[in-house]
Amino acid sequence: MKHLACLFLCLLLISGCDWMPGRPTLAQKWRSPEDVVAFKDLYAQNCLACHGDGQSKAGSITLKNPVYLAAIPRDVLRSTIANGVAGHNMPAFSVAAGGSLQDSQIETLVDGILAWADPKKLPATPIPPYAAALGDVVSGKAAYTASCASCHGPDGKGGKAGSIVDKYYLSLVSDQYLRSVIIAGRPELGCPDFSSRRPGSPMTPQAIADVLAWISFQRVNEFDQPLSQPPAQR
Amino acid sequence: MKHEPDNSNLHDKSAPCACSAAPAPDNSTRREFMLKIGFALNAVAGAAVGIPLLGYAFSSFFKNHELDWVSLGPVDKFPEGKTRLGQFKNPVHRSWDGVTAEVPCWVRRISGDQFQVFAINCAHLGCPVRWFEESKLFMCPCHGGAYYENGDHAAGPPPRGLFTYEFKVQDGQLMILAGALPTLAQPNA
Amino acid sequence: MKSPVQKLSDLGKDLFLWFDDRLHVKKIWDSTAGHHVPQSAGSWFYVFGSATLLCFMMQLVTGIMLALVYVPSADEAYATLEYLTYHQQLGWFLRAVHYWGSNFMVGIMLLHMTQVYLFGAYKYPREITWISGLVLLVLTLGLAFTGQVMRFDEDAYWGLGIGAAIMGRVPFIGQQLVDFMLGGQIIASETLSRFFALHVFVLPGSVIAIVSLHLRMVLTKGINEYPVPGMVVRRQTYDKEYAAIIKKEGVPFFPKAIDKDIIAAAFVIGGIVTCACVFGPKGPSGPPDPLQINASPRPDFWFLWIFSIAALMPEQIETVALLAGPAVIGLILVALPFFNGTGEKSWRRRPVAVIIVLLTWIGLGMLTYLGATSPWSPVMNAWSAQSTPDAQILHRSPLQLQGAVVLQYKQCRNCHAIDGLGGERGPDLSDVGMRLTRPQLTRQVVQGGGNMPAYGQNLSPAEVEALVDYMASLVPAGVPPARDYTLPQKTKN
Repeated sequence: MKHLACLFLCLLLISGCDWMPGRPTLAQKWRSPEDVVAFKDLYAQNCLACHGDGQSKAGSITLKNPVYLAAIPRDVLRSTIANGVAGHNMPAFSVAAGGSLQDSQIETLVDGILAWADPKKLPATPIPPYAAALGDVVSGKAAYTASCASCHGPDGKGGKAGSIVDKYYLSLVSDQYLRSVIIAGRPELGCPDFSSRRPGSPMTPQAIADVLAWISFQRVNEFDQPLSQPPAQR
Repeated sequence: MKHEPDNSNLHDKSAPCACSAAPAPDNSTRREFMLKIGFALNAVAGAAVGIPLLGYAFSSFFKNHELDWVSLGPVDKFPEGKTRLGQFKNPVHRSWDGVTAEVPCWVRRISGDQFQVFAINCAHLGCPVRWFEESKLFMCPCHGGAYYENGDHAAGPPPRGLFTYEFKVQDGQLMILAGALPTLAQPNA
Repeated sequence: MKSPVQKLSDLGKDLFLWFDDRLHVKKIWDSTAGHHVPQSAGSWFYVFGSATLLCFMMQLVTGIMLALVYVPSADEAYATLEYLTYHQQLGWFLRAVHYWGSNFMVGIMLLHMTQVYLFGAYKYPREITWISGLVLLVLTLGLAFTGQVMRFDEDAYWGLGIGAAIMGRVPFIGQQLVDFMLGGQIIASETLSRFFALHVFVLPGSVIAIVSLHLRMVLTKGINEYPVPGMVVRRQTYDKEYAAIIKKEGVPFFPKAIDKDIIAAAFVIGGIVTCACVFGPKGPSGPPDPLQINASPRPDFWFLWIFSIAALMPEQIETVALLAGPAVIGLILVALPFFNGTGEKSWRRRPVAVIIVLLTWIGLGMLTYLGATSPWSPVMNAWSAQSTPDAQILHRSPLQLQGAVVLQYKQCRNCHAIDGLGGERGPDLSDVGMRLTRPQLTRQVVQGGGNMPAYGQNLSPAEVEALVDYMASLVPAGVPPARDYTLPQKTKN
């Protein structure tokens, strides 16, 4: 009996060691950066720091914003990730543009980000178009006063939420970025979206274009580095 | 069994040697001569084997570097004002080198035919430096060396800027003179 | 009439005598395993030497096993490593035992060396024992390094690059040494072949030869008696005193003094196998492909301290320290039994020795810890992956939020943590507004300094303004922001 037990133990040692915790599994095998295909990993590696993920907040606009996701067209999202925003602080991520992500990985990111869209959380008002021409500066001032001045001050230079016409700020952000923020807001930081700035009276697409024109009008081109996107209509 | 450790030598206790018969006195000079001849012959034989052996093992001390021009691809692959990763097959390679024959380098196209081609190896201890387009810095993952866009030392332990390859533009191709691992002893290529 | 058992035993005796007559087995046995040692040497402190030898024998056996599958070719080595690790039955286990065996071997060898030093065993007349031990240490570290190259992955590839870079710092013949080490002009097939030759032929063969010398010295000059405070070594009298000790209380090593060695042996093997089963083999990490520039090479455990020294050494003395340092330390160690060959053996009467040992172990321990955490290395993906705590984002102006974006975009996070998240090369920025005023922040960002690159050329004025405005806002609640005390202060009232 004892001998049998010994024999069994030996057999176990010879063949059965394979269930030990130290045994490397294929899942632990090294993967090249191109083999990272899970959206979660890709997002955490490349996007999280500046855009946050809903839980963590960050300097730039969060992508887990239902209004933003409803507004942005898929190909714009894809090309923004791939090629960045020249002259502004959005890097190009595609290998072709000098980044580190393959096209398939960028596609995964686009799919994953758009999958966050939640139609149930959208306001009743139709979402304004993602991009549009600048509106009228003079009516923009009025629209600003109506919708934004309570936080950013009567002339945009302050109030509890800080200045949005600071020359440095305006030189760092594109008109499209400003437009996205006017539409989608920064709810995670306390800035409501276009529909809920004034209860019961959402901003119209025209008002959005006008406010943007009024803000953009105050850009100062005084820096030694040229602005890459000179405001189209002044 | 008892013994002194000092005397534990095996030979001390081995059987009496059978070779103790004294040689005939008239033979002694001849034997000495034979012994000398033996030593001399072996010295020659040893040199005949040993010198080539040393030459084989230490051949690197008697050889100059073989460098050759290799192409990094068409010039258009590298946008102006940008720094991109280039790669080439080392001009001196063996068929069993596998992936190790492929060598990366950083190509900075300043404008037109003006280039800078940097070795991937940090000037500190040879780790692979990585280019960051946003901050226009090369950073080393090992000991934190950093270099500016033009290869100059920016921070950390490296004693100098990045190693560079000699380059030329030929038939629209960017060519570099490559073939050896750059080190402080031979920084160029 | 003899019983069959007795007949058999007689036959056995005859056979033994037949062999003994020709091979002198008993004589060899008595003069080696049976040699007399001081009874006091049968101590737990004396097990490390035999344990190291045991590790080496395990390495020989497992190494031969691995060589049955491994192909030492730059083209194929990585594939065979993967095959061994994931497909060959128990290949992972053999790799793990070989890996942990090497870790144990170096560690136990260092313990052995420490014990020998603290017990004064290197003193007269055991100089050659000590020096051959030092050679064995060098050979073993050589085996560990070449073994790391056998695991031909990205760590091995760039580890070779580091070795070549150190060689390249040698004056005059640096380039020749680099080529000699690499077996060519680049790290490639001939490099692996020569490290394979070193790892499986040259170094193990040398270890066997030097171990023979080491053990020979144990037989001729005996094992060090357990030191007693006050028993002073004198060149004139020590041999007689040692002979007296052996005469009075000498016991044959086998079977009277080997018990603890055997128990220790079981524990060492058990330890190696346990580590192998629980932690498994190391790597292989990424393939030895130079194009995988995301590699972040780190040496194996016992070389982490050198990795640290390379990071922390001031640049001006680094080459000298890397090249002359080992030579100076080696010379001191070789000379030790000659300038310190007599006198007290017991560590109780050698406070300096105890301090040296403590400082060495603490120093190595700290350097190893630093090497494992490597706070000087930029965290290459922190700029795009590391989130920022709410406290450093909420209640900030649009410009400051853009500053937070600039801080990420310009890779500041790779070297600077916020709230502990990010690189550790530079100071944590979560409360930088408390330490630096706006002009100081601007100056530091634009001009760099203190091991920070100057960002002046790579930041637009607006980016500098946003960044500084953001950093100035990084002040803990209830703490005043930094002030310049050289300026006249406004007084309230």
